[in-house]
Amino acid sequence: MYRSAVEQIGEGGINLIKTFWYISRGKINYEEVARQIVTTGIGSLFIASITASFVGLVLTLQISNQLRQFGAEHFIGAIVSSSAIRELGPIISAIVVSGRVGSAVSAEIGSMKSSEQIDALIVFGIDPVRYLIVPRLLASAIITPLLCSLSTFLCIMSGMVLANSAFNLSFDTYLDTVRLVNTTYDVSVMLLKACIFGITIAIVATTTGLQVRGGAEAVGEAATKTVVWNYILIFIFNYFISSYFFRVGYE
Amino acid sequence: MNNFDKNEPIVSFKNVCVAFKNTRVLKDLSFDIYPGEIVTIAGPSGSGKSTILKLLGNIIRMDSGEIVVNASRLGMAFQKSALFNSMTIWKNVALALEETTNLSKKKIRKKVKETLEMVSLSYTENMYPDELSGGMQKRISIARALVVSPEIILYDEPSTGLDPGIASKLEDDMIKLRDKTGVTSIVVTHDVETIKKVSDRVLVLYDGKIKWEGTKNEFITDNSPYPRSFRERCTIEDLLSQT
Ligand SMILES: Nc1ncnc2c1ncn2[C@@H]1O[C@H](COP(=O)(O)OP(=O)(O)O)[C@@H](O)[C@H]1O
Ligand SMILES: [Mg+2]
Repeated sequence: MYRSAVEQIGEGGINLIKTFWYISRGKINYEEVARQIVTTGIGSLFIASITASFVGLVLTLQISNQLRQFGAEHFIGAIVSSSAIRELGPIISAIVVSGRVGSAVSAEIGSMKSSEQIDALIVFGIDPVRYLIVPRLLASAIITPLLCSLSTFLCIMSGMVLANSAFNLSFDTYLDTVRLVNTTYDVSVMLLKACIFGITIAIVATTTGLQVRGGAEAVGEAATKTVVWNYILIFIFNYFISSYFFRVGYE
Repeated sequence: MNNFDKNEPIVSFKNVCVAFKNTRVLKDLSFDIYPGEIVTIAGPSGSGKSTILKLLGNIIRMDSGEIVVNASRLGMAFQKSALFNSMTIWKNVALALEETTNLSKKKIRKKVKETLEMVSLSYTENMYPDELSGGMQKRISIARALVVSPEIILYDEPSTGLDPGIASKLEDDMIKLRDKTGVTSIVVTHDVETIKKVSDRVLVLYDGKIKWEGTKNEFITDNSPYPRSFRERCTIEDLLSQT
């Protein structure tokens, strides 16, 4: 277990470096990137929207009850929006992309590996990193921030609707406090975070897929392994990115 | 032992060793293959036949030894065909040319068309691999290997999983192809019918080494346990323990 974890991280790191090397040399099949964005992005829209909206609702519910005790309901917008922008949006989108796209990519590449299609690429002199990882990584690095923006937006909007209907808070008051506490800096960090999560998800998924050895069972295991690894890495990275930008942002 | 022309070998293995985890698969394996011949590497399942082809295809690395290949282009027809199942047959065959050469679109189109005609499957060009029978997939896999005009073609268990009649036709194609293009052909198999039909020369791989080497006729008549085990469809271990 310990050894396989080290191997996994090492191989992922090598794939990441190779991928950036190909990207820096412009070895990008844009058509394939677009195809990946469309096929994976559209599939994730629905889940991301539902998840984000309900997180917004439940967050507003909990926070409003707390704030009301101090007569501070009009700050609901500030708290919901800053939670959404700083933490929830990036995390929700990463979880959706990891579960929906990461597992599918890993199963796709895993089944290519188990049916010798990856070997066939290598014999042709086509590097699977350039041909398979580069477009998937770029697509994931673009899709995740987009889904994150949508998730964050829906989270804030659903909170606004609930705050209005259940606690009689006007849309204007809600939005005023949203504007008050969030800066462009916060939004940039949010997008950067989502982008890093997208890259992580793609590297873990493709590396795990390429490591498949055996038949259908191994492909299924790879998909599961991808999701588990991604959840672990996303939550760890999230803490460190947050704490880094927290310090930098307020110096 | 063989009466094939002893000019420069096109493929030469010298003391090649490969181990996976703790099992040694190839142990100081050495052999030569000469231009234009069809050599069959016969061996029981798990003896390392595919490993040899994967070394030639740069898919895996050896632990020690030396491999010399005097060719710049190599094609491989995989055991499970390994067609790209998300691509049409046309794209499957065209991919290597599109990705690794600077040929114009027009030249690629011509080459792919010719190659598909060579295996008589032009009409499948817009289909996907899973719409084809196993035998047709194998022929496309051969077409895909041929499209780069390789000097060497590797066949991994070409007849496995095919009906005898279809396997026999495929073997005819392999021979015709060599006769027409002079491509050096390395076939790995445990199927005695394939061995008897296509080989100029047979190498028997056992316990990580070439244990027997001879012409097709020698393979059919020799009484050593190595060729006999294939003819009599029993294991080499059984025959070795009888003597
Ligand atoms: N990537 C690998 N990892 C671990 N073991 C392997 C790997 N590839 C092959 N082997 C093992 O090496 C041996 C030879 O395999 P292979 O060359 O596929 O045999 P053959 O093609 O003759 O049936 C088998 O025991 C197989 O399990
Ligand atoms: Mg094999």
